[in-house]
Amino acid sequence: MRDKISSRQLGIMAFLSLLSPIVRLLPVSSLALAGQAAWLSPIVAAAVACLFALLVSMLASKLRPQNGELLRASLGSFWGGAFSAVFGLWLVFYSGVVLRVSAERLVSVLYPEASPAIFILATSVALLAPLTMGNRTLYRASELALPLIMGCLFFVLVFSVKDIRLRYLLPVGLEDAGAAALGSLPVMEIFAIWAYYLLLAPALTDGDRLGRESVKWLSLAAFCAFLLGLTTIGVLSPELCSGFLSPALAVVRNISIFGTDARVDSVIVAIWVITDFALIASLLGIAHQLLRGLLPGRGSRLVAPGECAAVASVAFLISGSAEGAARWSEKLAPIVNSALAYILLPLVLVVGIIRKNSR
Amino acid sequence: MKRLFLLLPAIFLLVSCGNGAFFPPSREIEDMSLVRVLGIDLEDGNIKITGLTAGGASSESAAFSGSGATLSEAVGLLSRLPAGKNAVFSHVESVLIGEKAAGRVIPETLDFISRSNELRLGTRLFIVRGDTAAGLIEDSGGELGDLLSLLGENSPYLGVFAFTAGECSAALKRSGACLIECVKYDENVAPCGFAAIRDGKLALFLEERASEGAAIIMNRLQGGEVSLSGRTLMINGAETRFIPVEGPGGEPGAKLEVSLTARLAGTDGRTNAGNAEDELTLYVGENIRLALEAALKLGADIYDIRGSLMEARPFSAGAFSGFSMPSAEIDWSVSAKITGSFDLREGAESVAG
Repeated sequence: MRDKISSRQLGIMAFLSLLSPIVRLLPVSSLALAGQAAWLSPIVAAAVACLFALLVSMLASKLRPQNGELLRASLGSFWGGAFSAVFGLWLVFYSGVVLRVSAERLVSVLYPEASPAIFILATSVALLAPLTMGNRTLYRASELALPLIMGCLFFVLVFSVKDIRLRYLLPVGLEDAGAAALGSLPVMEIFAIWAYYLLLAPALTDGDRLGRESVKWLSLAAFCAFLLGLTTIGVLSPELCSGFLSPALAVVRNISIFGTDARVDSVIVAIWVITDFALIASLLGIAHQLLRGLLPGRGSRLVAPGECAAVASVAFLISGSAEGAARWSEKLAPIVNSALAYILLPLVLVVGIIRKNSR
Repeated sequence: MKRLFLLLPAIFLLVSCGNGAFFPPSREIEDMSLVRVLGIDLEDGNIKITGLTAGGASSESAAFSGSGATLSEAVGLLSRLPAGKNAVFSHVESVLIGEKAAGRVIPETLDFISRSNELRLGTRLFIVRGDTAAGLIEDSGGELGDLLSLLGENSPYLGVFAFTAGECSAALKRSGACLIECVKYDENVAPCGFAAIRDGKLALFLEERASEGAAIIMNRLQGGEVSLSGRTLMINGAETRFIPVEGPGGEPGAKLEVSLTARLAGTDGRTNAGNAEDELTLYVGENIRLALEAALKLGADIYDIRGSLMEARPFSAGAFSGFSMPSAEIDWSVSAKITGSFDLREGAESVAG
């Protein structure tokens, strides 16, 4: 691969991308399973996710493919190409789903009378830039976006903490451990996206740090999910929070700063826009690396515009309604992500190590 | 460079600029009129909305109305004011609900506020007793927004602050019941107790003394004047501690320990303090009894005593999961302490004891 990135850059980009489904889906998904203990679920999920990330990083580093294609190095040219196509096409499809739900959410908040079509089209065109510039530019940009996003999150949390009511969070006891564990399942489904970034392991300049950086940034993502759950449930109450499509927006809409009502919806909108774009652009970048190898010669130049067109098509055609698109994002996509990340990818890496050792 | 040029058209497309077929119309700030108070009534089976705009340096506050089959429809019809201005609801501080409308519109109102892009969950709710919301807005004029804002701070009767839409929504979802502060117009806007809402409908009114007791139970008492046996006391503050207890049958119950501090009018306040302390203790105890009686009559934990017990024992969830108002044993004790004296202002009203 011609674009080399560091483990730290990979970790930052993956962290920013994870914030997109975290802000979109949590803590409502966890509340349905864990009830009042849902704010503890990210802590449970963090432990499992970090162990998994260490394991898969270790497997990926053992393979050390020379030509930069993890799947081909594991399974050979034919099956590696087939699995690259499966992963690549799924990532394009999933990017289209994310684009649609994020467009619906953003436009319904900012321009209730407008259609998301122009936003979908414009974002699809904008995605051409990171795809053609290469991973290095996008991942360097993520380092610039990180302090901005952390600043926005810090702002929301600092001015919301005074509105947290302990009676909405407590009581919790050992008897809630089971519920918290159950509520961690949706969080684990979100963390499954992490595995896709490990497909870029061969492009890293410091691959031996991959495990450490993975644990660091996954832990930070889990901590952000924990703080988000603590704040939204503590301010709104578990019952009210579970009724909102976007509890984080509801909390931000009701922020008061030093006694004055403040309209700072733009803070949460900034988090939405930047993290959604980071997720879509980075997943498409990974898909680009996987699919480009399948089209030799001049055909590889068509991959980038083809991917953008496919993302836009999926975004338009996935469903006729916002609810239908949301169902893809909340129910179907997490199941597929979990299957690919927690079952298929580790199996592929294990097969690759077995094949490597048997040569 | 070529790739940057690819990005530029996309950036321009993303930015909404100007009115047109593709983009929603923009709103200029001078075309906006901030609505400060929203009133909701029922008229001929329809929902009638009355809005009171905020006055400014260049314009006075004005009231305007709209009607519709639903709240959304009525607000939508309201948004276009006379003189071409657009109503902006992002700074609505108070929502008034007429007494007759309170029987039907409360769940719809709370749901509308929760889902609205403009209204806030911190919007205070009031029920207008004996009148419509439109009538109160018309009688009180442009100062209503300020009067409702100050209601909690300078209330002549043991000051409490109104419940917000978020608090009412959460309470209704948790226990099926909530309280909403009531106001009436009598030469001026004045609070007159709480209304208890059960299953989305107005169930009963808590009169003054029961409302004072409710405020003490909920730890929302700020203070106020009380007149007892011809003497005036100023309550500085009250704190209620909740102690979980077990009833005779093992069911979860509660003990409330109320501590009050007050000052006695007159220069020798401390001299007659003992007698006044006993009277105040009895007075507050009776208020608490009336408040608990109302909750038992309603059959709902409208003061969230269960939540207060759980805050007292945050790591013992299982012990209080069975707490429910009709069956719970609740006991209370009050201790009042006179800490000083104050000069009674001439003409100041006191709450009748």
